[in-house]
Amino acid sequence: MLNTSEGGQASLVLCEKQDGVAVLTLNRPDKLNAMSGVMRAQFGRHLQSIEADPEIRIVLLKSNGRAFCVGADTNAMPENALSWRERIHLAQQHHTALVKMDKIVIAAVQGIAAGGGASLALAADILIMADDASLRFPFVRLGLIPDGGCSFLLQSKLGAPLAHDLMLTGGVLGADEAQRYGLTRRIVPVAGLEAASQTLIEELSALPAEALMLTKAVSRQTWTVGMDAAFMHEADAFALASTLPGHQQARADLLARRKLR
Amino acid sequence: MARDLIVTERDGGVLIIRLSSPENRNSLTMEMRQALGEAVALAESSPEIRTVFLTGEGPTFCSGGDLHHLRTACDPWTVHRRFRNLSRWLVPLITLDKPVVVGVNGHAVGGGMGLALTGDVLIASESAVFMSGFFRLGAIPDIAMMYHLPRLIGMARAKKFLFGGESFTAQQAADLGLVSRVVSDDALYEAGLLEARRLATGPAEVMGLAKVVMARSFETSLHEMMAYEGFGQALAMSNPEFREGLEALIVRRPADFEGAAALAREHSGGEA
Repeated sequence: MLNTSEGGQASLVLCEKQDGVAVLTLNRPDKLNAMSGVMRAQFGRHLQSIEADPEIRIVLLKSNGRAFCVGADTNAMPENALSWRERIHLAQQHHTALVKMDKIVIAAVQGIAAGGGASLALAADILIMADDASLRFPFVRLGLIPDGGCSFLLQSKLGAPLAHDLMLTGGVLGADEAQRYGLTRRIVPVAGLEAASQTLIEELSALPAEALMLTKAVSRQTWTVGMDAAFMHEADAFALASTLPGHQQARADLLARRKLR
Repeated sequence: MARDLIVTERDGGVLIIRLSSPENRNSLTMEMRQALGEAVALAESSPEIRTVFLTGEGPTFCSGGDLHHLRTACDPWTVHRRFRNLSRWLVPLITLDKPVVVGVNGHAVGGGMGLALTGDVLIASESAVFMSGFFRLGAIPDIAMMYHLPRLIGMARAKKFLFGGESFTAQQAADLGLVSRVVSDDALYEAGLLEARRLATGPAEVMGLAKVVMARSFETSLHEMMAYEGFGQALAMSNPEFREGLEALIVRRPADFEGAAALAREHSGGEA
């Protein structure tokens, strides 16, 4: 078993490869797996190595701690519109890679998956949710717009009416609702998340890899029509939103609250 | 490996990428593709790199696919895998949001012609020749040739060229608008580098924005295009290069776009 760590740097994302399966684990539990720049870069490097490895057929995305991922770390926000745009592009690239890679991607989600964390879960091919899991879309409350491909992914997988309701209200989609509305057919008790993931991995591993790969490719061609353009539109609109008074005010409030603490 | 197949070199804000396997006519072997991908990733990830100058060493720009490799690597699944891998080097090169100058130093054949056509500005040496060659082989044109060529010269001319097994001399390519300038073989490298430097000292980040918007042109309706234009201009005008250009025009001094961009990077600091 190979547990990749980086020289001198804490491993905020763990990557284990064994028997054709790569397990990618977000490992910043004390920060509820908020994605810092360093963590994002580690995530990207692991994704690249997984993509380039023809032995890997199945990818499991999971996280340590009580939350799946609360999105981007708001302690280090970009200073200007173009650097915001680059940051959005990077998250989008990672989610695009998961959608387009010739490997079946499973996300095992417990607790909160908010913002970019929700987008990450939505980028997976098969979603397993613990009964305490929720996808949260708080962007508008920060004067921003959903990122990481959220708008496209949520509309494609859940449908426009529910996606709009969630994104426009800064809403929360609990596990039971996610199941009822067709986002997943796999809800398990928190304690059973690991076992449910393993069972699914074993089931998929026993099937012919080429057939899985081609099935994903054919399906992707339909549900991702317009995805690239939507992602570009999202990054541009996010960058614009970041310059506007609504976000400036939300950001000032956030900083003020932090100082009070 | 005896030596690098791709040589990269910084020249101010320019990243020079040289295909450096003249004994193999710079053919697109697996190793060459991998190295090209790494060079493109470097250009993509380095903010101080503003433009790219791509050219080849020796009498050939690039001869395309490696025919000997094809004899052993043409079973359907291997070919399918190989083309999926284009997303690792070719697509990033085409979508790079920085101006790319290609110096076509000689024959650009098959995939080599496809590679040349990924550039934003093409400068060709007098001895340059553009050839498809795919139908001599019994294969379909690849390396994005069927994407770029109809967009650049029109569908009818692209079909005439491809189905007719034609080739373009440097001058013919210039007359069609594929190539912006033809220079003597000796002057090619310098001319290409000068053009890349000229672009690097211009508002390269803003030109990159324009490049991305223009790339959508053929797939986008007027209304969508107007929306992208609006976002693009809002971003351009939030950029230090615009503030520098505007100020310089008003007080009638030359603009220092590269300096303005570098200064802004310093101020924003190393974001985690």
